[in-house]
Amino acid sequence: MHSLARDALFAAWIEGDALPALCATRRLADDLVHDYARQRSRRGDIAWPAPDCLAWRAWLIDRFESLTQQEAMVGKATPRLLTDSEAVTLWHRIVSEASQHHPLLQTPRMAQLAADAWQTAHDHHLALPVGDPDDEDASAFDRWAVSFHSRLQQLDAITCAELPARLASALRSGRLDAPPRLAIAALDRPTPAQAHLLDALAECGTELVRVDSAQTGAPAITYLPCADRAAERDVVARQLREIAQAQPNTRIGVVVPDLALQRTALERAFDAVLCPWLAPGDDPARRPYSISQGAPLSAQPVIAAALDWLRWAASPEGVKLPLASRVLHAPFWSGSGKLQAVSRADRRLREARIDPVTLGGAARALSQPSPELAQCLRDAVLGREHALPSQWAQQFAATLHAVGWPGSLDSAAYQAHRVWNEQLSAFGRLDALSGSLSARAALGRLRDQLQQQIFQPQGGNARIQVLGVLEAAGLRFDRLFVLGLDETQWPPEARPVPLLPERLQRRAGIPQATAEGQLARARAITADLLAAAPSVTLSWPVQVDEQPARCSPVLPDTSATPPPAQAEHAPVWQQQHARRCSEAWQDDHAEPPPRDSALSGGVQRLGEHAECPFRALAHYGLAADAPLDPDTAPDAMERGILAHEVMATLWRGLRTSEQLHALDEKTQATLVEDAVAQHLAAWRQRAPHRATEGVLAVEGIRLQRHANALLTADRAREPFIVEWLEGALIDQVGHIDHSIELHGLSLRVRPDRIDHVPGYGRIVIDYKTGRTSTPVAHTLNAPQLAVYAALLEDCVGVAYATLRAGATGYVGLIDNGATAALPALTPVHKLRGAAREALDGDDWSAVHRLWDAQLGTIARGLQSGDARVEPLPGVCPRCDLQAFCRIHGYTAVAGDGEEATS
Amino acid sequence: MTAADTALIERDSAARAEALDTTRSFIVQAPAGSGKTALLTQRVLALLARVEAPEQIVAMTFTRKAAAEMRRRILGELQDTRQPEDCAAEHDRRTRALAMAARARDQQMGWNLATASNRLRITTIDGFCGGLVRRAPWLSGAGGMPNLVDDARPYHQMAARRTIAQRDRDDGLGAAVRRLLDHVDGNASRLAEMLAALIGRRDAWRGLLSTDTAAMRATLEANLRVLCTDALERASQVLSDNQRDRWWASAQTAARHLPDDRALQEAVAVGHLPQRAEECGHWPALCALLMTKEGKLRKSVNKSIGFPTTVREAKAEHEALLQALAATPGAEVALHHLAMLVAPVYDARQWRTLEDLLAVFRHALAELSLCFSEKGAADH
Repeated sequence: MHSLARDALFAAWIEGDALPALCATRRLADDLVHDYARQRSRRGDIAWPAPDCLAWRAWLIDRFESLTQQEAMVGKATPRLLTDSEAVTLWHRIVSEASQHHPLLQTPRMAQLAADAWQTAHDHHLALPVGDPDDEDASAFDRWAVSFHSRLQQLDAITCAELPARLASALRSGRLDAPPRLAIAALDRPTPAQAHLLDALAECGTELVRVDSAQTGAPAITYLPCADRAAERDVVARQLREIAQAQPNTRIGVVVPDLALQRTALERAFDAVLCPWLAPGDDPARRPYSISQGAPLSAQPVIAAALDWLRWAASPEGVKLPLASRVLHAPFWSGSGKLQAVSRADRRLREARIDPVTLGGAARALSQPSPELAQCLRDAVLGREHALPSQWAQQFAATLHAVGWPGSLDSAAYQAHRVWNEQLSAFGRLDALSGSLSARAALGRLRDQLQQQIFQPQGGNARIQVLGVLEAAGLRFDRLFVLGLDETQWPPEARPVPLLPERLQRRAGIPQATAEGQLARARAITADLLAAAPSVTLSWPVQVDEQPARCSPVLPDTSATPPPAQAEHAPVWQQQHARRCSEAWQDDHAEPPPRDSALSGGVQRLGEHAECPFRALAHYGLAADAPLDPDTAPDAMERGILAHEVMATLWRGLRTSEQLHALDEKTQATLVEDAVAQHLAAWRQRAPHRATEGVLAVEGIRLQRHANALLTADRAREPFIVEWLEGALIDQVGHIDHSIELHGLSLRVRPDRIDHVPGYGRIVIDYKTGRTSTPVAHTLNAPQLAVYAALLEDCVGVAYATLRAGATGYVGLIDNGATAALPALTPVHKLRGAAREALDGDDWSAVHRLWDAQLGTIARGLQSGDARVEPLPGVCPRCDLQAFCRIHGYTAVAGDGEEATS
Repeated sequence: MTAADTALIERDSAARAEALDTTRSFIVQAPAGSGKTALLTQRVLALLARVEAPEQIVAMTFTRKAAAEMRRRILGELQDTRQPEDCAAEHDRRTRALAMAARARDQQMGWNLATASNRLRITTIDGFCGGLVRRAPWLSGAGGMPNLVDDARPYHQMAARRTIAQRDRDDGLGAAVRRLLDHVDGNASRLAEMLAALIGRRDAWRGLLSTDTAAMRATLEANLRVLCTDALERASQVLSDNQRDRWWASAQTAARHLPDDRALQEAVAVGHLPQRAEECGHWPALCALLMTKEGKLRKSVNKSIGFPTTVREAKAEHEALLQALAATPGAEVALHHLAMLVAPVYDARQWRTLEDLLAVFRHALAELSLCFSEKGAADH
């Protein structure tokens, strides 16, 4: 076979020689065509015939189509060629059937492995079934291969894997015309199937011409040992930047043997050095470099949004709230320009604790802020019946259309959308292979298909190309960098195909199957790479897994290598942070709350101000809070509300301890049971999605237990009269807020309950289902009882009535002279420790003085607009605003900075 | 060096030599820095001289760093050209002899380990398991390498929440979940957290799960019994009869002054310090007289543990006992083990709760499998 230089091939094309070219990879075919176009442009040409230049696979399909046409001319039919997704669908069906009694974690991946094994077997002329498999996996695949083959026959179809043999046979039998000449590029190590077909072409008179892309003359090799993998990425990125800045037209290749694994880290390092201005969400085409191996199509934001919408539409029971929220906030639908309406709906869903969320539920939440968007959601329905893929493809498209997907797109999203359309069409052609499916199964199949489809947006004229080793075959660069050439990575370890017997793979000489094969392959690829550019830099980390590592044994003489290069760049976010640190804002004061109206947030705000002034301002002055993620029902608030309601109902009926004593145990139990049932029913009415049968059953028992226990505690008390319930006098219905002026602040308050104990005075009671904090401490972070006490002239005690397992009963403080009024409370003179230290005396008046002083301090802080981020210990872990005040963000950044420089 | 030292060294050397017998299996337990990795290196070298292919040997470590270090050591030995007689230390001579034999085998078989070092299967346990899954996607049931998640807590939490959602079912599982919820005062979030934490440690209990609840009860109670007998045995070795007698006298005194302490009253009612496994449920109340909740010997004695100032003599006796125990090696640990004991028999209520838990665990595991399957993921 004689050789032809690349330029000579172009010259032949320019002279009108229709010499077809067959390339090992699509990237090489594209590169040849683009290189040719550049040459024509340089000649001043405006238009020229496109050269016949195809990658191996495309060429096989093209020849098979020719064969089909030629056979059709003589009245013969050829089998149908399955697309890759059709073949995988067939494998999926076979594997699913086999896994009925052998559960599999990942059926789609197993189906893909089977398709790969089928391809490898054909590439290397391994006859299937192998008949004598040596392990269970090979044995299973043998059975599947028989089944696959028989289904292909039923369908009168073949796969791409069989094309080389088919075409060779057609050539030899004269049913397919052989081209007079064929230029082949980078097919230096053909598989047996490829060699067989090339032999058939040669036998049939085709003159095979090898396109020689190799650099003439020995390349200048630079060895670049680096401290570790991170340093290697950084050092190479810096060298790339220098070259690109000094010689903007230089074509630079960067080859990474394990690119798929390194991709994310490489992107991050290259972005930091080559395009630090690139922000998340920017069009990736703006990068000054391109990476050959893209991410799965399903991972592209616009496609992921489509799949999320379809998943929602295919889930009549709804989807989890975080997913619904993500879908609504994504930019790829009609709601993308209506952030306020979407955010309002999101908040409504969260406040009503709707989780999971149906499309109908979201439509209801949207109906007020945006009736049009609500209608979009109502229109996005999917059928419930089983249907064929072609029908689902139509329904999926209609559903997405209803919600206004995909909206406006940037370049990368536009290209992804175009591939989506192709893939959806391909999915719609699977009727014969998959049969009818449920909506969810159809969507799952489509998702699997999109996951297998690797998407790499084209665009930009990146002069720096990052490639895997196989994609670099035949390409030519001005400068080439090869990374990751340490002994642990290159040659790669043996990776036999798991579903084929290893001994057969060894016998067939599949290079990837054995260590010897990998070594030989690595040597050959390295030699090719060294011929791909006049200047080649070979780099490797000298430390892997914290241990010294040597360079790959397949590299040429590395006796004189420089010392390892170190990383120089701090991560870009650290650089930006360092720059920002030089700016400072004075933001620890805000506008004080208005004096002419009640303080928003009320007593709760006083407590939060005492705990952290910024927290109180953010919650009540700025109405900022973290999105509520509904907890499993019932959450603390729901439990608290129910307990309050039940106790209020009970005492509204009983009114006095005398009435309580008049009840026998059974009557009391019935009374409690009725009150609990009444409020659980009301809750179910309000929130049927939360108050399910199981929840009500458990909550009913719990509430009855605690209410009875609290009433039992009340029975042991001195006679008392319940005067106020939820701020209202006992004769009034509902709840009432009272106004109180404290240190210049106007507050609206609503005590849970006030008992009058004749002969002693009044006791303020606050129901609690969670933990209680002491009413007397150095800081008044739970000021409810202190404020309520200020409402009453004759308050002699304050109490928490806790309804919690192991703690049901009363705790609190009482005047020394009124201990008999509620003996469970602690008289002031018995206080010990910090509580005692906070007081200036040991009687009730000391408590009043302390509270008054503390409320005064809080009031002055609020009135001065104090908004310092100054939390008390233990406050931050239960605060929802850490992302807002960024107290830990700054601490973390400072910590990281220290670590990075040490 | 004493004769005893020499004897010890000889025993050590003999044990090391024995562990290089590649026809037998060994467990080598030794302190850090005693040369376990060196021994393992020698054994890999010894095996290399015998195998048909280096891939037939698997060496596993816990960390990638340790795996890399062992690889480096083995390759270093293979490339070292020193003869055994060039080395002074016996250990080095042995290593060199093994390395020379491995080198000869390398050349004979044409492995060329110097250039194909990744033929040495020296890996972490995770790496080894990953390799098995990659090579046997069907047999392993994984269908291919799953996404290994380092932090699987979101999956555990999802499985826990889905399990709790079974409370609406009108069957045994629904009732079990409801009873468990009642057990945690209806706090579903708390139960979800507890379940998720347990799912994260499922390796410790998964083996116990069985649908034969009677057999499980027998197994669990037998395990508790073993804990009791072990703790009793340990205590009998550490505590003297005199200490035990003084403890019993103190317990009787304390019981007289703590009439409301039901557990202590019941313990004293037995008439002696617990001796049999069945009596071990009384130990916590008795240990509370000596130990703090943190498992430390008490530093002071007061009325809260039954020694008011009115019983000065008994109080002094108890303080003396505590001092004696503090001076007894191993006493604190032995008492701590006693304090943790429970009776090795479940009563009806306890077993009901445990049965509920086990039913819920079984379901939680199934939910976890579904969660992983939906995402094609697995944890370590």
